[in-house]
Amino acid sequence: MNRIRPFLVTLAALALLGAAWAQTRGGTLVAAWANPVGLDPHATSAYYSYQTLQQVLETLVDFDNEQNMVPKLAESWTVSDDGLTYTFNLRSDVQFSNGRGFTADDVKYTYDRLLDPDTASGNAWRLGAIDSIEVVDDYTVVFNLNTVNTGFLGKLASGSPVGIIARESVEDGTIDTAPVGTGPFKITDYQPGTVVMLERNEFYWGTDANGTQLPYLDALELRIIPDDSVKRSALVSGDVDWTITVPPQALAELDARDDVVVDRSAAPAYWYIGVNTERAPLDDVRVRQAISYAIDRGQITEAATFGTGVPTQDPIPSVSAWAFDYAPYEQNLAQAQALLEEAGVADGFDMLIMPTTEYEESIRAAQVIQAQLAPLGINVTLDTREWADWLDTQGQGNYDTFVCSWNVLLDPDDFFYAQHKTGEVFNFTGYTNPTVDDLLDRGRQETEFADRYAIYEQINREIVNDAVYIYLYNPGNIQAYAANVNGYTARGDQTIRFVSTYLD
Amino acid sequence: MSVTTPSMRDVQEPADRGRRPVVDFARRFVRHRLAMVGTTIVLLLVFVAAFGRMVAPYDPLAMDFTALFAPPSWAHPFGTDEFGRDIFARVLYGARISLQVAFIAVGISGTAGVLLGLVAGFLGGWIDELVMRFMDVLFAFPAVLLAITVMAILGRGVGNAMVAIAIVYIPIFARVTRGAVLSVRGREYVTAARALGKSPFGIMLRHVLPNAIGPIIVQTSLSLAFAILAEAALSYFGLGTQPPDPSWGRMLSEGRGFLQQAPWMGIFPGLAIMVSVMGFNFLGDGLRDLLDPRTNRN
Repeated sequence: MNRIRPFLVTLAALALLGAAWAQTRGGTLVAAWANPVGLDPHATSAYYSYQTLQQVLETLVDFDNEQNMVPKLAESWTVSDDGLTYTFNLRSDVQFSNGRGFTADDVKYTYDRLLDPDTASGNAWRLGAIDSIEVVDDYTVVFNLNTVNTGFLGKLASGSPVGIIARESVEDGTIDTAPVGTGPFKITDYQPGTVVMLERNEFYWGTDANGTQLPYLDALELRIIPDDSVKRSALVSGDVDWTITVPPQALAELDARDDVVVDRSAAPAYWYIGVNTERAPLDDVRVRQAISYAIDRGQITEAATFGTGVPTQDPIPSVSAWAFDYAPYEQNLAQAQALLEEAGVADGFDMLIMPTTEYEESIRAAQVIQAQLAPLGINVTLDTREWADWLDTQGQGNYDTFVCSWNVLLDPDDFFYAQHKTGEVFNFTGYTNPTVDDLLDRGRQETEFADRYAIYEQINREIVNDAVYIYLYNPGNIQAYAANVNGYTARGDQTIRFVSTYLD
Repeated sequence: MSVTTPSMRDVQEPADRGRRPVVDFARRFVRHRLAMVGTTIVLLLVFVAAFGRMVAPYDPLAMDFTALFAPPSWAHPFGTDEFGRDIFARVLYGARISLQVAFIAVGISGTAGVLLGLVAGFLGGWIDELVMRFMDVLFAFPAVLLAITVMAILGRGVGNAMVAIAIVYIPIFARVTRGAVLSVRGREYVTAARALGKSPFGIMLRHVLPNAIGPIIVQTSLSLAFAILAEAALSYFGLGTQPPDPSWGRMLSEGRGFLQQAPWMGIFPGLAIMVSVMGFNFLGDGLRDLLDPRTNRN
């Protein structure tokens, strides 16, 4: 008996360990995804590309889910008293998914490439304050800034657009299909329009609280399913474990199910009408304001999101510390008509609006806008395009108006700089306003909250008044997954992370 | 025609037999149940397309945000859609779009196909080969696939949808016409007309076409059914009718995302497509029964 007991205890312990092991480790998560448009983090502007890269690339610093700055590839950092020099001490136990050790050279390489004018990256604005990067030793890197930049650390934490890449994938030309990073997964197969396959990065440095190596999952299969209702059926029928978007009309039904978890968080994001400021008659601010007065944002939000979004007239959600809630455009058709008369287009005009099949809510919003502008004689035609085509057309400026969203916006700078600064790559509307340009630079340098708030409040007012973006609503961040998916949370910063996810 | 010999009367053309056959045909038509059901449906459709605007209780484009996804009721017999638009009104308006597209597309393909088939069948030889091989090439593609390809080249829109559908159905008309022409080409009255020195073009129009018209009429009726389906398919894929215009195919495609919450969004336009396709099919089948000499029960 005495001899048997230790044996039984050991057996029980092993069984428990085995159970725990089986519970967390292994398996493939099949996700209903949407089409990434290119995977070079410095070239793409597509939300689904960034979310794919989020599994592959890591940043020096990061935000936890409460928006606190936490270490990631950098263990610690110091900032000089004048705010111009940032010194990062890097982790020495990090390897890329190809097995090569990560060093300070990789940091310099990544950001030199991002900022190189030849790269023409639309994401360079995030780190424009960098003057030079010095590699002190393998695990120490220094950023010299040309000016004080209050949100600099936040920009370094702004997800996959600023993730560290391995130069090998640039040199062998796979950066746009299978970039190599230090993240929990690596891309093994990318078939545009069909699937992105990722495998566990066996060299991943991260561990959970018990010291078990992360990630738990063996693989991710990101199936590209463009249609929202098909995503829903795939989830309900068990074809996929997780879905990146949920058709809002199906929320009530999904909420009622036991086998599905609907995960919601506020999204630091906004939907808007982008107006081409270089095309008559939209180049006239009065015409843009007339449109802003003519639309009913409540109805647009209802039709586009079925009540999951919040109508807004400026970009920053009301729940944010940076909210301004500037709302000069209550629906007023008489005012809109008067503005059109002043602008010399009293009888209206023909206008294209470009939604995308990628986001069904953009098509619904465009249809409501079409109906709401009809009484003014503005004859709106929908120019619905497939996503890659849409992005191309937007990039060429070949549109009158479009409906789109900006996502993962953390600092007020994120809400305005790339979109509205003269000459920025992502300033697709061709907007230029010297006052705004100047304020945007000052906003980056100001350190006191109250002073910064005043600056951005003024920027917000200028942009809303110029109606270059006609803001519609702040969406919710909603994902749904099977009840056996554990260790996943819809994050407040909208980034999707499967590093601690497991299936049971 | 004083030289007309008694033997010429023996080669009288069937199409010239005077009023009796028409009356006879009408009598048989009325007695043919399938044909009458088809005719009733088609007449109803034409009526709805012509006067639906006056009957419709609502503006089919008017959004009502107080009545989103309203189920069928007295106020909204077919319910409302995701914008609160009345589906009954939209189905009524959709009839005009569907019929318009169908008639114009079939009109174009019928005219082109009949002319090509007539020329190929009557003249024969290398012209026949050239025309019919080209038709074979078009015919080789599945109809909807070919229509989508044409739309991809021409661009979206209801006008281009008509052209695409027309192109798809030209070969069918050409084949049917050619077949009918071949069967009457060697008849005595054609030879007689030739002997009288009439021009080939005159013979084609005056003597060959009227006697080959039966299968063409049947084909027209069937093609109208196919054209309605094709327009619905193209609009379903977002290529045909553009929003906000109500087309049945478009409504079906919009309703697909809401089948669980608001099944009426898809059911009613779907029924409308089904009934109208059935109507034209019945009519076509009935006409075939009555016009085909092989099923002639005289």
